[in-house]
Amino acid sequence: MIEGGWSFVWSAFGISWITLLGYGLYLFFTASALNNESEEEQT
Amino acid sequence: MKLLTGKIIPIIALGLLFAGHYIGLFIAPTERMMGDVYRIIYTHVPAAWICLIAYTLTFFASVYYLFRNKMGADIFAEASAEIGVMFNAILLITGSIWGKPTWGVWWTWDPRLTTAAIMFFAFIGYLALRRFINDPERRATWGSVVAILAFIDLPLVWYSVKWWNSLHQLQSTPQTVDAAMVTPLRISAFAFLFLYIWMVQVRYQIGVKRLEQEQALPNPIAQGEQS
Amino acid sequence: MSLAESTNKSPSLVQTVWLILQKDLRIEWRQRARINATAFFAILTLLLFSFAAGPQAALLEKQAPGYLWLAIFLASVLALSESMRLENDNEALEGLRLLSTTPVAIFLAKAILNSLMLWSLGLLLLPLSIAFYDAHMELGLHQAALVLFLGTTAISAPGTLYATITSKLQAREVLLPLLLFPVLIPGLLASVKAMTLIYTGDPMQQLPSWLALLFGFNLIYWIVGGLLFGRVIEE
Repeated sequence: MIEGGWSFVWSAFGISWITLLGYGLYLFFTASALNNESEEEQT
Repeated sequence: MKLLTGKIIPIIALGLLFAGHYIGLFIAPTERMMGDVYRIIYTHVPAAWICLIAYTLTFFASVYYLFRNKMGADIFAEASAEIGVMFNAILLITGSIWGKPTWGVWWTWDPRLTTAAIMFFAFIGYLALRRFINDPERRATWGSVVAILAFIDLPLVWYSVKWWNSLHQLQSTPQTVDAAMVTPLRISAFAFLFLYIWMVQVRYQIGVKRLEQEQALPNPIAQGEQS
Repeated sequence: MSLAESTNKSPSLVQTVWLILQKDLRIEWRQRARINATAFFAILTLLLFSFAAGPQAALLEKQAPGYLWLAIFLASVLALSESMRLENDNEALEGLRLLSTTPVAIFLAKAILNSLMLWSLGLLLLPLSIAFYDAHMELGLHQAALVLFLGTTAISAPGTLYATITSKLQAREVLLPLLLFPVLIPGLLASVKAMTLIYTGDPMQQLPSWLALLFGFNLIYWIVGGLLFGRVIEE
């Protein structure tokens, strides 16, 4: 049995979370920016 | 059109993700051979599944576009491919982290890992190509062709790498049969699935917006590609 | 030109492909400086690999089939994009399309032309790689020619399609290999493996399965390429 190895586990999960969070934020801000632009156009 | 409506799906996704990863990290029993390192599968395997689903949907959307010429299908194909590439990146990185403690190397030419890497580059190419085509219809058509060619390569890559590697030993993944191990895997998979659904929705709406803006432009740029 | 409709009955697919191929071969012959340059580029690549591997003869001999195929792959990008640029410069594809020839015929003619060029290149590089890397072939020349043929047709089918797409874009130099190489990897693997067996001998009869894989790759991409080419060249 492989002993320990939690550092591997945490880095794998950490990278997954950061990637998901990063992409999610990118989508969120891009979408908000596009929303604002179209609202400005309408006013 | 208002973007970012519907808060239910992301909340479900985050809830499931928290539950699945929490159970996977702290409650699921330690594996006999792998120790705690095996817990990486709770983020690695769902990423692989969703990545495959994303590429498959890109493929079908592209085929649909070529038959029906609906711009929506193409926007969906791009959205799904982009998210697929993101999950593919997670898949590759976590796979590499898995490889170090289990096989002693960061990278191995295992058919799964190699196929994932090649698909990553194939779809990066698809996304890159789209950046260089300014005419939306042409971008959609050519993009669909490239997506189809990339996707039908998947089984070919898989079998060729498998045969190519068959002289070396084939590394196997430990069989997780324990129900206590499978449950968090399923929860995490559904979490990633809901995340995918939310992201594809938002990305699709962004794509629609961008297309509207492009078509509103007085379009001298679109002629620029014919050098 | 007697292409298509001058005679009342429309020609068969084979006739059309043959006519376009003849025309293209004539053009390529007139532009043979281009082909020569590509060939010399490929030979130069072969030389460069030997510098990368150092002067260790044993290592070079072992890697000879892989280097041979890499040289063909790298040169194929140049050959493919050059052959398509010619079409674009003269708006020749447009002319063919207007002549109500089927896109399948245009695709087949172009892909066959590219296959022929790359195959000749392979046949040229084969003895050179043997000379440079001090390799020797256990199996016969006809088997090597067959592997080269199947490998280069495997490059040509998706290559023709991708070169047609990228030739109209500004970033064609980088986009063509970026799109082409990932898709070609099964073909590369099978070609290198088959070529290695030809160099080292094939006691376990593995060659047929690699040839079958190459054949399958060809079958899929030639069919799909023919089906999709019409959508690629439409206006």
